[in-house]
Amino acid sequence: MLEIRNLHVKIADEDKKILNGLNLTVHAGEVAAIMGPNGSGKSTLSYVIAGKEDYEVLDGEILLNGANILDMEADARAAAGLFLAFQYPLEIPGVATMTFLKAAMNAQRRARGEDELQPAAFIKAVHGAADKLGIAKDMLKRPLNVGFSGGEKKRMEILQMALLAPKMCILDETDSGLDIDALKVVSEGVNALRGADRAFLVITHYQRLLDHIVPDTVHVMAKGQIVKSGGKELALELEKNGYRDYASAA
Amino acid sequence: MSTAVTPLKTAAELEIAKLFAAARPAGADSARAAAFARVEESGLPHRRIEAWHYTDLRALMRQAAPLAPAPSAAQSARPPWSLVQHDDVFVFVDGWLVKTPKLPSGVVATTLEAEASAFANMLNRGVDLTGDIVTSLNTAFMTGGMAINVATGVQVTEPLSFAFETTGATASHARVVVNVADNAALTVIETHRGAADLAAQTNTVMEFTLGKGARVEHIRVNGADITSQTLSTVAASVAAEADFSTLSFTTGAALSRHQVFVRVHGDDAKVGVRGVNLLRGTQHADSTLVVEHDALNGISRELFKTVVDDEARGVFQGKIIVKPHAQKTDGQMASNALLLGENASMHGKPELEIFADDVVCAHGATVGALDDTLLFYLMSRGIQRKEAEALMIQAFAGASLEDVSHEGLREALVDMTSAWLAERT
Repeated sequence: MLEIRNLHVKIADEDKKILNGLNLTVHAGEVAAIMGPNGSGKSTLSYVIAGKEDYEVLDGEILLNGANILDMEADARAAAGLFLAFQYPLEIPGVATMTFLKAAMNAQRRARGEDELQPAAFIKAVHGAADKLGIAKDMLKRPLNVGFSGGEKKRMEILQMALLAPKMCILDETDSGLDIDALKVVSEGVNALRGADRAFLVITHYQRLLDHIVPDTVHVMAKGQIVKSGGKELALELEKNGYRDYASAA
Repeated sequence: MSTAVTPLKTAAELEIAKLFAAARPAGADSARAAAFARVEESGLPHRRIEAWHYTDLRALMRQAAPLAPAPSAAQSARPPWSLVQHDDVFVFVDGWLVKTPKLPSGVVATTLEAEASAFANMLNRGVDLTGDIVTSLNTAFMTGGMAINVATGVQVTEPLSFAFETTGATASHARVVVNVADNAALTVIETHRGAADLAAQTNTVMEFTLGKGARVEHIRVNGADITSQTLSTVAASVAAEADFSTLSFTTGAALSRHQVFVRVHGDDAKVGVRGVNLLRGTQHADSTLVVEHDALNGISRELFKTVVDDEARGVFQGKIIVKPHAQKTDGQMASNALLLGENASMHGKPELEIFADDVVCAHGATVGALDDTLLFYLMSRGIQRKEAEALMIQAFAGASLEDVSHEGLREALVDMTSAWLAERT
């Protein structure tokens, strides 16, 4: 599903190198977790995959279903099936959540050569998905994320993921800012979307999230590389020993 | 020893003098003469006059267009541009009043054409505009004039619309007076458009007086042709407990100067002055406003949103004056500009002049570009760059439209914003 080969990335306009020859493969149906200390490049990796322009790719490839996506703009990557749930979802004053959702869903449909959604079908889809995530209908009328709590914003990210039905989902620190109840709701939302033709890359500092979204593989990231890969037991080991073993590994 | 100073007149100023001598419209002679004397003395305003620093009219108005003749029957019969579906439209063609609709009960009209001296007596009543050269020019040359009086307690439910159309490369001067008595209410819509590629010059003055507890909502839409020059003035005198709001929405004109002068003279009154300017090409749009609080507990909200693309230029000058006894005034003024083009520019001058000690007043002016991070967020959801930018711009401008209470009208303005965005290259 997702294959990253020898990825070297620096911040545009600066000399600071963040990713140093990163290799990673996530298969269809797989939930892969990336764990790592602060500053190891986890968020940068998620932004580079999604197509944020603040970075310069010096070398390497990112393949989504075999096609290199590095030359695509962010919207084309999304239409190709990529989705990034943001660590800090942005507020869009003046744009009602429903308007935003409709614009996103229809833009992707158009990019794939499909017809736009009928209004009734759209509303039904949104209300159905919102109900499952405990999102009240009046929240959908408010400007996207404006005045929403941390938990509400993360639920809204999962709602978008559910509606856009991507193939490759990246969750960047989705547990940050969530209390236990919100963590449960969000995790259940993610688990409901797991399937044989969809893959997840879950980026997190803590083991806690992985109790709820149980990964198939765990990768440890340090200094811009994957330094160790294993099964879900690797997360427990990290929780016990911390990241100090990897601080000098890269 | 004294030296006689003869200021050099520009071609436009000389032409204006010639027009006044040769072709001044009939009626209201003494008002016209007094107004013209002020124009003669000052000339066209220029950049060394503070209120005109960013809009040097003397330099920008190189030629004075000939005065518009009365329109032909065919020109007058053209259906006017109306933003909401209704028949009650006053139509001015080239500054001449050509149609007066049936007036709602409790509303009485006086025209310049029929009662020139009575009409002239109704000018400059609420706010003294004699010091303003643009208004003086209008007074000297006004052709169409309409004064509306809304009787005490009359709530006019449907908006009254004024459609101003131009047909040629001529100068037009229309004057409207709206007096709304105690506890009466009225919505006024004003639209401007003109024939393509004919550099019309328009000068429109709207004067409002609000009685105690009166409510007026005024919306002005400037869709003038992109070659034209539009000067416009809105004045309002606001009595106790009255509520006056005015919104200017501009996409048209090569050069536009929109002036708002509000004087709050009664306690517990409310004022809203808002604007949306959507500019591209080499358009120059100036929004200048002065809100004077001369009574207790006044509330005023000023919010201007300017979107500047290409090499266009926006100007915002806003001043809130709080007189010594106008305690508990609450005034909030903001001008936000979004620069889309690399050579786009915005000049802002927000000012507070506060002489009372127990007030809450603030102003803010921001100038910025589209937020890259927000753009990435929208694009990461599959929304294409142009559409994502349009959503952000629509939301930016929309903040000034939220308070338009007539739903159909608000939607029409949102649609105009979308149409402007759709033409963006």
